This record gives sequence, structure tokens and C-alpha cells, in this order.
Amino acid sequence: MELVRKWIQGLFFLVTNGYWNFPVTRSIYKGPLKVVCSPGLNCYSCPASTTYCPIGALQQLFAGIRISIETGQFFIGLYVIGTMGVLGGFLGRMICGWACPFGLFQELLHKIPSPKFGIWPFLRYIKYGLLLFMVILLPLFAIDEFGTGTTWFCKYFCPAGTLEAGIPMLMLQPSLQGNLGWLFLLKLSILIFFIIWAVLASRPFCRSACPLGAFYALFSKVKMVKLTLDHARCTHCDACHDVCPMGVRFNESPNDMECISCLACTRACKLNAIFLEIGGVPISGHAKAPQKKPART
Amino acid sequence: MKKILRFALIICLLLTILACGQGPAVVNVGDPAPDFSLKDLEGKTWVLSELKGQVVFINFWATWCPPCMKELPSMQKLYETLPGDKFKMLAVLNNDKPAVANFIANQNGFAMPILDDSQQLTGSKYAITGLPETFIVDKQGIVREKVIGPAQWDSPDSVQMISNLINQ
Repeated sequence: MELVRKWIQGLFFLVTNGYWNFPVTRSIYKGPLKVVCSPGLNCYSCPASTTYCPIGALQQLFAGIRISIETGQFFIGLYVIGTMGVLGGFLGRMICGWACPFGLFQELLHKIPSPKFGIWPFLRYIKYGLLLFMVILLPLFAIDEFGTGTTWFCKYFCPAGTLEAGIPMLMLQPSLQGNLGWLFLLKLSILIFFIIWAVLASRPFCRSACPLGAFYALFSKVKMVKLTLDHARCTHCDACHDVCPMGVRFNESPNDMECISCLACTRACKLNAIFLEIGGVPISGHAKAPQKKPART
Repeated sequence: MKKILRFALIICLLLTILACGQGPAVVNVGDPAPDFSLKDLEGKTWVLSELKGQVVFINFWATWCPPCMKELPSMQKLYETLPGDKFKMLAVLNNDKPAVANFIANQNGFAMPILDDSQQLTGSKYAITGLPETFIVDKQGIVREKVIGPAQWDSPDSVQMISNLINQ
């Protein structure tokens, strides 16, 4: 199953970054597929990107909402919220584990041999702050003289944007190098920080700073496709703890907002106590163990 | 066999997506400016090839692009400074709603013609990298300056550079 997941990750990487003519055109793809919202974090300005990033589009929606309302124009942002809602409600953070190119990038980095470390669980809350402030509140309320906000997360933080768009575009368009300043250095430092961290720890950006992951995490209790714990079979051997790339202790927290449904724990659990279900129906022919009846007195 | 099939599947997928893409050549300084015909927000048609003999300032922009908005006031000052019979400024609205651009132009007093390229066809012809992007075309229709990103267009250097092109 891990091989299938890797293939699906690779396929999503190619589908969302399928424009390989960019070394010739030296510009970003603007063809007909660019109206499609990527499920994972994938920068609109990446030269190969055939889709646009939901987090970028969400910021654009909030940044321009005043003018949109005044002129009766409702941007693509409403469609983005709908897409994200449907994806979140159906799959939740399974998208992070199966369809996010930046998640795949971190997984590959983590394969580099080095000492490995955990991540302090409290850091998970940072991403909710980034979602609230840099994606929603600042683009909505920090406005300029024209009444529009700016895309704070993209502009000041997003390491995926630096990796996928900033650096490649500098190579494709050397004249852009004249515009480099402290902002690029800041974003490059953030990218280098997360690259080093991803070698040492598993998926640090997803766990601490990804606002898209934070958004999908809000659906963890209601999503259709999810991992479920069969309490009757679980012996609390804790075999699911060490294998989880997100640091989830599944037997202690089956609805954990960090779970990306990568299925690593289902393979580690030799008692089949963890299984995937869709809309409450177990798949792969898993049958729940009969519940133990209380002894009669 | 399975490996070959998977490989073939990926190649097919890539080719399909590539076929959807555009493949224009990059427009550089010294190249002839690609011709276009676009309507402005008042319905007037602007054809670049009909403007030969004048210096043409073509700026690709959108209202959702903060750097574009930042350079618009300096573009307006440049527009007011240079003679209208020898210099044309065309603000080409790329991938945006004309109604929003009209609202912003009226609210802020931007008087230069705003051309509707919401389908991005002209932007594709010029292979623009992003927004804003500006091409300054001389009287013979040759691109003499290409600026990626925002600029202070009312600065003495910019005014001098365009004036030199007008006086050539």
C-alpha cells in the first residue's frame, strides 16, 4: 500500500505540475487547466504548475473582497472555498498524505540519512495561527489606499512558493535578480530552515506551519474517508506510535487532527485494529471484532 | 510489463497536459512587439500596428496584483507628462474583471486607456512572466525596454528614457 501511495503522490505531483515546456517559454503556464484548484499546497507561480494554490486563492478572495462586493464581482475565491470544503469534508488531511507535492518533498528529504528527532507537539498550533492571521485576518483587514489587502502568507512566509516559484523564476528570468531584496532573503531563510528540519524530523512544515493542513484538519471528526480504531481488537501495544510520520498516537487519539491517513499505522498494527472506512463502512473486507459482553454477576 | 504500462501512462498524461499549454516565444528587447487588437473599457478598439510612429507603453496589470496597483499612480503621472500625440500608454488588464478595473480607475482618477485582456491572449503573445510587466515599444514597433515587476514610472530617469525614444 505504501508503494501505491507513493505512486499516487507522484501522479498528483505530475498532474499539478505537468507543464514541462517552461524552459522554452521561460514563463509560467497560463493554459486552460489553470482554472482548476489544486488539492494540495502547490504555488500558482511555479513555472510547471497547471493549477493554482487554494491558500493563495483564499488570500486573494479576502484581500479583494471589498471591491468584489462594491462591484458585484465574486471572484474565483468562492469556488475555492467550495472546493476546499468538499475535499476537506470527504478526505480531510488525507490530501496531505496522498496529494500534496510539498508533503512528498518533505518525505523524500526525510529519507536522507541523519539523526532523526521528534517534534514538540505544542508546535502544531502555530499553523492554526498562520491560517487565522496570515491567510484570513491580515489580507482582510490590512488594506492599502485602494481598499485591497495583500497575500501575507504567500508574500512573507510560504516556503513552497520560494521553492516552486521564486527560485525557478530567478533562473528562468535572470532580469528578476535586480528586484531581489530582504524579502527574498527572508523567504529563502524560511525555506532552508524547513529543508534542514525536514531532513531531521518528519514533515515539519505540515505539522507546524501549513495553513492548508490546518484547514483540512478542521474536518477530522466529520470527514467521510478516515482511519478508525477497533477498540475491541486494540491491545494498546503502541505499535502505531513510532511509525506515524505526523507523531500521532493513534490508539490514544483516533480522531487526531494531525492524522493524514497515510496508512502507516494500519501496516504496523498486526491485530488489524486500525482500518480505513468510507462513510462509516469499513473497506478491504475488514470486519469489526465482536464487542466483549460484560460478565454476568 | 506493469512497469512499462505505468511509464506509458505517465508519458501520456504529460503529453496531454503539455498539449493544453501555450508555447509562445519570449519577447525580448530588440524583438518586434507582437501585434494585438483589444477593446478598452469604453469600447474603443486599439490595434498596436496602427500606432507606428508613436512610442507605446504597454503595461500588463490586474487589480488583484498589489505591485501593479502600487505603480499605477506613477503611470498616471507619466501619462499626464508626455505628449498624447507622440506617446500612447495602454494598461492591459490581464486575467481580471473589467468592471473591477473600471471601478478602481474611476475612484482613483486613472485616465489612461484600460484594455480588456481578461482571456489573457495578448498576455500569452508577450509570454509575460507575471504581473506587472511593461514593454516600451519604439516608433518602428520594436521593443526597446522590458520591465518585469513594478517601477517608479514618473522618475526623471524613466521620463528621460521615454522622451529620448519620442525624440529619435
